[in-house]
Amino acid sequence: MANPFFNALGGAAMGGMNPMQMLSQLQSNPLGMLRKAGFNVPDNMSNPQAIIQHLMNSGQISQSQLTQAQQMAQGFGMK
Amino acid sequence: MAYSYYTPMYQPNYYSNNPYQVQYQQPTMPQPMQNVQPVQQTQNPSSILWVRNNQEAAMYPVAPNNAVALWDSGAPVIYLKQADAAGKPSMKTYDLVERAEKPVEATQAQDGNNTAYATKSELAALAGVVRDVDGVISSLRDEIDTLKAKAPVKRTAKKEDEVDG
Repeated sequence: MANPFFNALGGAAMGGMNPMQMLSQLQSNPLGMLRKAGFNVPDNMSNPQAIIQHLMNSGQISQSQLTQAQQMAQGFGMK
Repeated sequence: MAYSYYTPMYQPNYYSNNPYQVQYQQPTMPQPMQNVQPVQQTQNPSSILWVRNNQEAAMYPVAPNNAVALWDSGAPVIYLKQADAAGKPSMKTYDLVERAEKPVEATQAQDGNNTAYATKSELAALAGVVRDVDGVISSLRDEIDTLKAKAPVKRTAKKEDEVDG
């Protein structure tokens, strides 16, 4: 199963961003980036941890997909 | 910590040069990502997730009916965080202890061909021997005291003879 996080980053790459910019954007504006990728996130959520928990609870992403995304972020030195 | 094998599409040369931009402007751009996904899954990359401390581990999101192992980057500690079907999280903390080569001595003791340690029964027997020796010494001292009490009469008689002579 494809990782929706990577799909989201791929969409951002189509907009001309490099990977560092994509991850930085994801950190600073997770709601906007995730909605662009097609995720269903409530409006009242601003905490990234809460957003991720919501995505997992609703089945939009799996634990392994989150793990992959976290490891990629750690590989870029972001946390 | 670089995972270059894990994200092959993010090669360092993509950051600065036109080839990167050209790559992503091609209409076939999604294909590399799709081709990459199965490779990542089959390669089974390292699943180590690093956290800075206990608090960060406690905040890590876990999906219902899932568990993750979080490694503390500053201490030999692993946090096992899991969530039940309702999503309620729980966390256990484990200390990592390096196994040294000491177990070889322990196995020797268990075999009975013991060269380094005495058993409890051997120590008890030794204590009994020490008590017996102590009793013998006490009785010998008593005999010596008895003999000393009888001995000094001779010397006093000699001196009286010398004085008269």
